[in-house]
Amino acid sequence: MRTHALIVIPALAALSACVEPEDNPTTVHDLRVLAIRFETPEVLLNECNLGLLGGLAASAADGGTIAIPPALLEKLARDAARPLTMTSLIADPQGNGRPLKYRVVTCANQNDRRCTNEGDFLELARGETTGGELSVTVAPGAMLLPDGTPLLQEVITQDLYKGLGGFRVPVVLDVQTMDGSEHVYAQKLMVYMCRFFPTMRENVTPVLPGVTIAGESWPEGEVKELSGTDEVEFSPEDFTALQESYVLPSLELKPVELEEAWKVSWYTTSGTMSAATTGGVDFGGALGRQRSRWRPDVTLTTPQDVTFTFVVRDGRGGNSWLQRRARWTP
Amino acid sequence: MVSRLCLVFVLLSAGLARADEAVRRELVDAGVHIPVLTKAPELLEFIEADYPPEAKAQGLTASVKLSVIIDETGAVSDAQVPEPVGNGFDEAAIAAVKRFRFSPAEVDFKPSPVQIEYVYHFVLKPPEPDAGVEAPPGEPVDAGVKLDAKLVGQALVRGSRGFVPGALVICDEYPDRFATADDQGNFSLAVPSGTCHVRVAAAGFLVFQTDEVLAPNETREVKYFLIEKADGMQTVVRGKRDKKEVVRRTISRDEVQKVPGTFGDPVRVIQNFPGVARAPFVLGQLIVRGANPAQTLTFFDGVEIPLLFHVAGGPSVVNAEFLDRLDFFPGGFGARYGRAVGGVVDVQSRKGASDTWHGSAKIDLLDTALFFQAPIAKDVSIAAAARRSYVDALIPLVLPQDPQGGSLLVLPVYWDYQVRLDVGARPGTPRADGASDYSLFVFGSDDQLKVVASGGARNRDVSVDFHTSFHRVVGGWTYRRGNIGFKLTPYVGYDLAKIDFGLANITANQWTAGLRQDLEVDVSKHFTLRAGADIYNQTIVGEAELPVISGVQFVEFPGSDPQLGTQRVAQIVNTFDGALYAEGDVKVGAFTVTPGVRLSQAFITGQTRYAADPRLWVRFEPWEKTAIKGSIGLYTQPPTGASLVDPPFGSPNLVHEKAFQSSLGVSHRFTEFINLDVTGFFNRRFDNIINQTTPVQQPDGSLVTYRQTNNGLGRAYGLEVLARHEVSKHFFGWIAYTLSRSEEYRAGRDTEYRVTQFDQTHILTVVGSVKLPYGFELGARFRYVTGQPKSPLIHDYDVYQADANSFSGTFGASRSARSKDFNQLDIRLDKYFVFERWTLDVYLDVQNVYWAKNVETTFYDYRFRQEFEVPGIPILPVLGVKASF
Repeated sequence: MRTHALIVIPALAALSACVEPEDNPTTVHDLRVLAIRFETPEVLLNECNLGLLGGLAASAADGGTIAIPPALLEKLARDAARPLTMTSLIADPQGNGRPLKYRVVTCANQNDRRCTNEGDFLELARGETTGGELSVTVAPGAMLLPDGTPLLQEVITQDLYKGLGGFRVPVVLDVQTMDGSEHVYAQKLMVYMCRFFPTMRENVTPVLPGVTIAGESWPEGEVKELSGTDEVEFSPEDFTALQESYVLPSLELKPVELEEAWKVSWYTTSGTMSAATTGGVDFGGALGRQRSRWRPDVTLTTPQDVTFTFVVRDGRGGNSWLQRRARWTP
Repeated sequence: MVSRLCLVFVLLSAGLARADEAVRRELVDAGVHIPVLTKAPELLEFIEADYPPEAKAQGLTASVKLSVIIDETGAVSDAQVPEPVGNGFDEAAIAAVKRFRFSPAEVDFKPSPVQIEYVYHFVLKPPEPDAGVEAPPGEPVDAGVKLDAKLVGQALVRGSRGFVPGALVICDEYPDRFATADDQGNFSLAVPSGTCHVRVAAAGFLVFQTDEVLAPNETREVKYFLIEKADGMQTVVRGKRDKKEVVRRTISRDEVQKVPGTFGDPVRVIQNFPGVARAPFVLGQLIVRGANPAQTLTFFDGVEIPLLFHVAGGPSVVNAEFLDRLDFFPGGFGARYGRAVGGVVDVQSRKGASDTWHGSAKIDLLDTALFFQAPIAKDVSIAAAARRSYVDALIPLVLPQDPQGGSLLVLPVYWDYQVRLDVGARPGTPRADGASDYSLFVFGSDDQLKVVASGGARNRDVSVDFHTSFHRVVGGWTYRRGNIGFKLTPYVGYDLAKIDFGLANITANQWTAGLRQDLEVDVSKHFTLRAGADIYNQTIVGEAELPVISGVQFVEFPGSDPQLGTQRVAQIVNTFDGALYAEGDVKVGAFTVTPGVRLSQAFITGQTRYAADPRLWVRFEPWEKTAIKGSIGLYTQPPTGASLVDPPFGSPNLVHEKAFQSSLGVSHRFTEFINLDVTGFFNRRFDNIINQTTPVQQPDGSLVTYRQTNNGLGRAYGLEVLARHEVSKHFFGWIAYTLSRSEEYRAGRDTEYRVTQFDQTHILTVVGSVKLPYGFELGARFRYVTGQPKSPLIHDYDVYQADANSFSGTFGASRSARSKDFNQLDIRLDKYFVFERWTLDVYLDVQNVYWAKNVETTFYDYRFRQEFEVPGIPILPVLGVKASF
């Protein structure tokens, strides 16, 4: 009898729920990298235009070897040499300030998520740090690979889309405990975008204007007192006006008008958040609501200091975060 | 007591009716090269058997069923008793029947050997009636007995009201007098008044007995309902031309509906044959010899079905009630089939009943299906079926409370229908030479799925409205004269696919027209030619209002979901594919060699594609019941029209997918019901279409992105074993085992072959169904399958992508590990309540009886530190009811 395939599907969904992992992405309980931002998040290359792309195409047609005119490459390198502040948000809630060792490396291949391909990466910084924010100043766009090839040229060579999505230079933060028992590679793409159209503007870091708790504003530095097992709803203060309009080239080199739809990621050091990430636009064009509910860990019997982190991303490389602290009693 | 042998000539006509049923089944085969019984054998010389003395002394009677083979001259070449009754009856019946003489049967108008069933009844004659009874004036007298009463009635099948032509009606008291039922089951028997121990016998039925006490001059009208013994007692036509294909699995409606765990779904039943990999969960995908499911085509009466299953893993759109039989070719199929590099499934619909009207109603939790068939005029019959789900009404009752606190609406609705009108020879009647059969078949299916989730604590409102349907009208003209057979199958169709999702909506209207023509000519005893055409035209008019598509029309940034303007897209896609085929059987002694070729030319979105597929089959029959078969051939499948449109949505450079298929096998029939088939195969696929984004920069710097390429390569090889017990009186079942390996390679990406996601080294399926006393039938299916390939997870560190806010995993060699092996037992218990005019079937189908914890897929925690296995279905009992009449 054909009956119950339709029934089986919800049954399977229920079963899937039965094997759901206990490790919730919103709960920060060990060494994590929650976000990495560059300031500025994007570098607009003024000397890079459709002429460059045409040159790349002609080079490719000649036999696949990308040949960028040295003079043009020099101009690009000058624009791309801008020093950038790279700030990483490292969470180590159980570390109690333990030392962590880190490296910052860059490479040309986006798919090399750890930047470890031999001869194709460069170390930008290394040292020791602790949980919290780690800032280093780097200029990946100006780096030369060990064989003397400009990193940016190699990025262009390896880019399937020849810069139509920007030249994306991978920068990897490699952070681990001293004994190596916890180890994270975190990749951030630094975007060097050609100014294809005069209306293009360099991306600006998105910043949440604030966050509300149960509908009330929660200023920075205020430690909230929370208690009981009831859920508490958080939402960002309205940032609609801050979302930028921007232009990208289509694959046919026509301008595509877009508007940022920020996404917020929600983290807590105790309990869980109902939604890990909110916002963005679905395929049907609908915007998601920006809110998430905190669920206390009801198994705990002692008061807890809880840190909430709200990371906002603009969907084009820019991001920032807010943190709030609370004291929860069962 | 004086004993006397009374032979009940069995009802050869009934047996032949069944023979003709087999013939009819052959006729509906879309191929025209299948033998047809054009003249039934007639008994010319009857030999009375010797009544076994000891049995006679003990007053024993018996009915001996014989399987009789009649040679081309009409002589009995063999007679066997499949189910001996003992007491000397078997030997006596065999001895007599072997001396029978028949008129030669004709297959395709040529004298041919056939096999029939014959039942020999040994009946003791009661004492002679008292002498001196004179018949009154005006009343018939027979051997001095006054025949002053009459039994007038009809012999019918108990539970379905079908006629029993040829049923023999006697009074035990007067065994020399009997009446034979006509085509409508009607009979009239004049007997003396008084008690008549009525006995009604017919081939394939239990002997019906009752007492009638008749008053003088009484005419009593009666209806006798005979109980069918069992299925599978049909006469088998043994034509000289066996199927050329190395492997052709055929399954009947009876088997389809009784295999446990398949929901009575014909397509799902095929999954239990060798060469077909297990599909995950209860999905009905056909994964044949390593090919992906889209490379195996399913035809309904020769017309390709665009959609196999109703929405969300529901039942197949082919209503099992409308199925006559189903042929499955896992590879090496004939030249009349094309546009597929995997396998072919050909479902044949059911012709309407020729005796009286019949039907069935099936009700279960999610839908109701009705089936009806009847003769509507001389040589005109109709059959119709319809099904409609009501799950949309039930789901709100069982849907769990929305955990988000908002409103949640999930409404799947599906329905399908089939109507078939036949004009021509009725089932059970040989078609006259030069006569034509006509048919008109209309079928279709419709699915809608609406999901609306909004409000509450939900972070995103969802509204999806999905609608798809198809309709087909198929004509048929079958003609045969002398050594020429011809069949023409024109068809037209309309399909709709529509989806509304928020601001986006996509609509595709598709019109289809096609024609199949098949011709067969028996040129000589040594050569048969088959040829035909297969023409197909399709026009898709697509319209869409949707946002600019990131990743397709511009380069997306990881994790980006920006707000976009919408665009209107309209596209017309024309596809024409015309094919000619020819193949010929060259017979020399025990060898039959069949070379064939299929040539096709396709015009797809303004582009032309050609294909020439040479194929060769060889069959060698060293012994009567043994055949060694081999085949090699090239098979091609054109890209779809939609895949050939201009970038960025299509890839105009695509060419036909191709497969070289070869197989070698041996089959042996051990008994009338038991046969064994062992086949080895090697398939090499190339120019496989795979998703592989390839941006190509143009001189002006713009990019043309091709979504798909022909860079796929594949190979599959293995061994298939099928030991099958065909439907018999008490049992049907099979043991299917496949040992295989399926590998793939993507040029430009892979460095070596790796197993496909469908690779399953060992596939063992055991199916059996046995009839039990008191109307019970018990079926079981056991499956053991090697676990699915997967890549081993290695976690030494976290790898985080800060832009997309996601992690990626680190894995070992691709698909170098496997999930644990799959095993499952399903059972089905039917209880039949056979009433005089209808039958009720109450059944319990239990899947995963011992609740095996199988693994259907694997997922990972968000940091890819641990694997989690998604279990398969738990124990799943399903109760259903089916009434038929």
